[in-house]
Amino acid sequence: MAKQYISIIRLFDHSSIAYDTELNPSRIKKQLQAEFGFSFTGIIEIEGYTYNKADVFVELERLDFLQRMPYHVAVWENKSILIFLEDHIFNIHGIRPEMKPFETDPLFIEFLSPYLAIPFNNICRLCLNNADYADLVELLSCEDYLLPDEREEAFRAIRIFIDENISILRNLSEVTLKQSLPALKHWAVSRSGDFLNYLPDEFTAVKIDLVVHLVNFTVKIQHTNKKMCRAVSKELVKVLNLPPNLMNTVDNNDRAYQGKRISSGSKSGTGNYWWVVWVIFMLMRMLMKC
Amino acid sequence: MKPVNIGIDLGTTNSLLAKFENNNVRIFKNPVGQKETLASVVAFRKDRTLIGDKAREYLTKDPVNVFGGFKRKMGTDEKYYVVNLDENVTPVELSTLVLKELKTFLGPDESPEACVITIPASFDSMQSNATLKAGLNAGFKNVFLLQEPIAASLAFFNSTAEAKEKRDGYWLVYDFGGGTFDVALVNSTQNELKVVDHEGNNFLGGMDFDFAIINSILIPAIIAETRIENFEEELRVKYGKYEMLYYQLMYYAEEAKKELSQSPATVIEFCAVLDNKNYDFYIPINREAVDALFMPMVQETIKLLESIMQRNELSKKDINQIVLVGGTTYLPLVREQLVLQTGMPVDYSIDPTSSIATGAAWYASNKYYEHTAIATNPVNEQHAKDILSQVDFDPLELQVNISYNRSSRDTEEVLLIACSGDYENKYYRVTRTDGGFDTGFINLKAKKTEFLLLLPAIANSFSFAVYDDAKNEIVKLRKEIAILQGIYNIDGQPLPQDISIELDDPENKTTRLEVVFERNSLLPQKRTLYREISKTIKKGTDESIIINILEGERNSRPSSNLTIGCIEISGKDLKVDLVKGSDIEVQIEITESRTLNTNVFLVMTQQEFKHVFSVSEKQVNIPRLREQYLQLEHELVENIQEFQYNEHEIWEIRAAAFLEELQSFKNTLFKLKDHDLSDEKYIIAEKMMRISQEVDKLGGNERIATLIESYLNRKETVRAAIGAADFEKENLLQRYQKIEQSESSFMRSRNASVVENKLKQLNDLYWSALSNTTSFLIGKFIEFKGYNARDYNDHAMALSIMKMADAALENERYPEFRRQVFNLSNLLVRTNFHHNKEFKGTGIG
Repeated sequence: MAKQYISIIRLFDHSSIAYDTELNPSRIKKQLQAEFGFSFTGIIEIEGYTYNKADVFVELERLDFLQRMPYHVAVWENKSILIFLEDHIFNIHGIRPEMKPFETDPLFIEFLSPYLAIPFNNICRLCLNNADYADLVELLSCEDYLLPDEREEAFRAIRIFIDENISILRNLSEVTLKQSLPALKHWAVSRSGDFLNYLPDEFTAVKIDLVVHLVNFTVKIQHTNKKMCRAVSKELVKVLNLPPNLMNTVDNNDRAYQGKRISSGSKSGTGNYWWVVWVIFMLMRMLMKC
Repeated sequence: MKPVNIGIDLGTTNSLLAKFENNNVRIFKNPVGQKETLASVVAFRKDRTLIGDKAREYLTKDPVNVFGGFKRKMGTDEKYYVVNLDENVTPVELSTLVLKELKTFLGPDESPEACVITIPASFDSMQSNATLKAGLNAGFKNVFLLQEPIAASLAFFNSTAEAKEKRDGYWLVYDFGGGTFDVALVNSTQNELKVVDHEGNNFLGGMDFDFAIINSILIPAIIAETRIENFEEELRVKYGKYEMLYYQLMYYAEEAKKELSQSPATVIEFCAVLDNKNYDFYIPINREAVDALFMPMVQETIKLLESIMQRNELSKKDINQIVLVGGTTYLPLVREQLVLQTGMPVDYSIDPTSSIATGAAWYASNKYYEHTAIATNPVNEQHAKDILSQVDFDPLELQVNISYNRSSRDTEEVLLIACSGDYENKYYRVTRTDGGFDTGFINLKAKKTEFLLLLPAIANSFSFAVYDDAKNEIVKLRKEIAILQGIYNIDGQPLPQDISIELDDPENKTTRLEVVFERNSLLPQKRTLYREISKTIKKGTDESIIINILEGERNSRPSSNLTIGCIEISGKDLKVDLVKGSDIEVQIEITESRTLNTNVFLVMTQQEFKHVFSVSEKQVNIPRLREQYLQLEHELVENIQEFQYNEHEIWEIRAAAFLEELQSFKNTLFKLKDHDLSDEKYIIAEKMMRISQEVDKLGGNERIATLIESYLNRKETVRAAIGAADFEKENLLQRYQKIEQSESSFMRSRNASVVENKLKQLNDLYWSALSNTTSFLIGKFIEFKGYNARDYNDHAMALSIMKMADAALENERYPEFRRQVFNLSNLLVRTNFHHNKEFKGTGIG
């Protein structure tokens, strides 16, 4: 079950409990019991982080507490991971290098996964709200650290986002089209196609469904909103692992949309192009003569 | 901080006060009459108020001015009319009087500031808060609540004679009191005691046995003698002509019940004037007859006991003993049936009457409270500065605080020392008074830990002394420490119900509950939830978001739960527009005494809303209530249709009656202004919650069994359908496994609505599986092709999709065919509109 991570190491530091030596969980429990005894409410707040006795003791009473302890220390020492788990702040440059050493450690993944789901989902939501696909793609590349039990919680925001978009796209009509455009403009944002590529396997079917609807959407707006149509299409061509016929449709449409741009451009532009070809042709002839 | 030390058992029939002193627990006696128990009865005479046994004696003489059994009405709107005073009194006021009377047991010189009051484990927050309020009104500045089974466990495990022989493992504490029943599963290890789970019924106790004697023996005997028509109905009428007799019968029934605990037969003899005629009643009763009456209630307690074992997957060989507590366990029938039916050893070595108070005092010995001026009268920052400026206070002055447990099962116990001020070059030393332990001089630091060695099975006394740089003792900082070795302590008390937050489920146009704190989590708890706003709220408008915190069964509908905290944030409270998708942080804290604190932070507007939900305050939001109403109404209509279809006539009649009752206040509810100040909303909310809970129970065990059977059958069909699915097999399987994982929990809930909800999920999954099966899709496609143009929102588009689908099918491009069929289905005109088209929800997703 997904849960919020608050580092136990901060509490140990606060209570002057050494964790670099051999640990005795029963003694630690007693020390912390006395520490909680100082608090009238039974809850300790350190630097704005809240510790309640029940949650702390659940961790201490785990049979594998001593095996988990090095991971608590590791998270404490890797601040990008720590702020990600505790504060839901995503340091795009820091987190992957910090997680890298643990990528083949199944015990670490087992430890991390329940704590990862909530911030993962929150940051996904934030990225989606801001159409920040660069961060989102980076975040999605950490999905291997999520175990099946936590994946639903972790991808909740993405699932809702896609479902909502499909729902909007399905209900597009002449009447609703104009008012729905602002809600769909993020598909015109750069790297939205990458976002679809980075979706985990469980999204494959829904991704295809979404692309189909987006294709239909571009068809609908090709004359009325050319700029958006081209931008969405440009992202759609980047989407991989689509059924071949769908991929063909996407490519053909895109060629048509981008082609329209060329044909609707100025004649001088076309003239310049032929002039370049003519120069190259002449240069090659001269070279061949030499 | 000072230890609380005082423990009070505020019982339905009797109350007691105990105190931890001189390393032991002492039950205080009533200075008048020297009895340990005080009857929880209050009598209002014209000139004075009587509390306790004296009041109880008036029950037969002046019953309309005497009140007992009010513990069962705590947290309700119930009021008792006192004829002699011509005014109403509440259960809280009556409990306050009992608590004040108990305080006098301590003598005139002692006026305790804090106490631990016990409550049944199944008390909801409203009932708990009402008890807390009674304690505060009785003059205690700090009141801590403790669940009765925990108190009983502490009393049992710390009973001196047997403490050493107690084994590790599971125990059941069976607490059958005067008005309530609780059973707790306790796990004892070498050093610890933990309440793992509990069950209870707040309306099952000795009083119900008395009512059974009245209803089945006394009333028929009176009717046989007097031949008065409608006597039974008249007897129950509040302020009716036989009201006095009713209270007298209650007294006689209780006395008879007590006598029958000792002897096989007894007689109830009394005179009464009924309809101006004198009667002498002589009603013999034997144990066999009452046992037959009591049996269903005893059976109910055993059922609860078994359900707790089943839930925790325990068999009788896993249980050491059943420990009996509470006055009703004196009944031979209870003891016999427990042995007979459970096959587990039963222990009644502790005094069932005083054990709760004793345990409360053990708990109180390790409970600390802060000085009243700080704890109950919070001062603002400026006021605090003003006070400090008047006090001669040196921030550098050395302050030393220590923390430790006053009882322990271990042979060592930790002492935590925390210093502030100037502690450089200062020392401390801890010595045991028998000289067997001495830390020597140790440098003081901001925080230090010492492990004190304890001698077994005695009170270990230590001295903690502080010394200056010349090793001279700073006498004012000396502290005495006493730790009782061999005594159990308890970490905390569990939450009796799930605490959830209501969130939107826009897809189904309804709301759902998300658990914040699980049932049996140890208190206190604090958690922050990160959610998003699911609708845009414009600044200055009446649109709002609602943070609704509920207590109850997590799987049931929100209206079956008790709202314990509700915050509404409207557009008028906002500094800027709150946009859909923006973040909301909801911090929820529930204290050991079950006070709820919430702190809502809107990230986008950077606004914070704090709220402490005060004692016994009811929380109702009218717009939310309306939506809950619609959901319940819709569900009832569906139930009635289902019962009609399956020919369950009786259930159908009952469901129809609930629907009628529900609809009887529909107009009032929908006419209420959103910020109505009257009590109407509370009355409606109360009625709705009751109906909702009744709907959960509709059809009883038979309906649950039917639903479970349907569920199990459906499971097989779904499994087969998933097996046959051609697309999304993995997703479907995951959904199936998720439902299956929660199976044991929802089946144990014994709640028809919960099982029904799971059955619906399974049905949805079944349709999802079918719609991912090519053969089914082909059938559907043929069906769609046969529809008329008016059946589609856009027929031209439908025709074009049909062409594409035909082509895909012909070329065996099944994924594409599936998509086209889905697209086609989306173009269909929907006739089955949801019951609540304008769903507003809570605004939090």
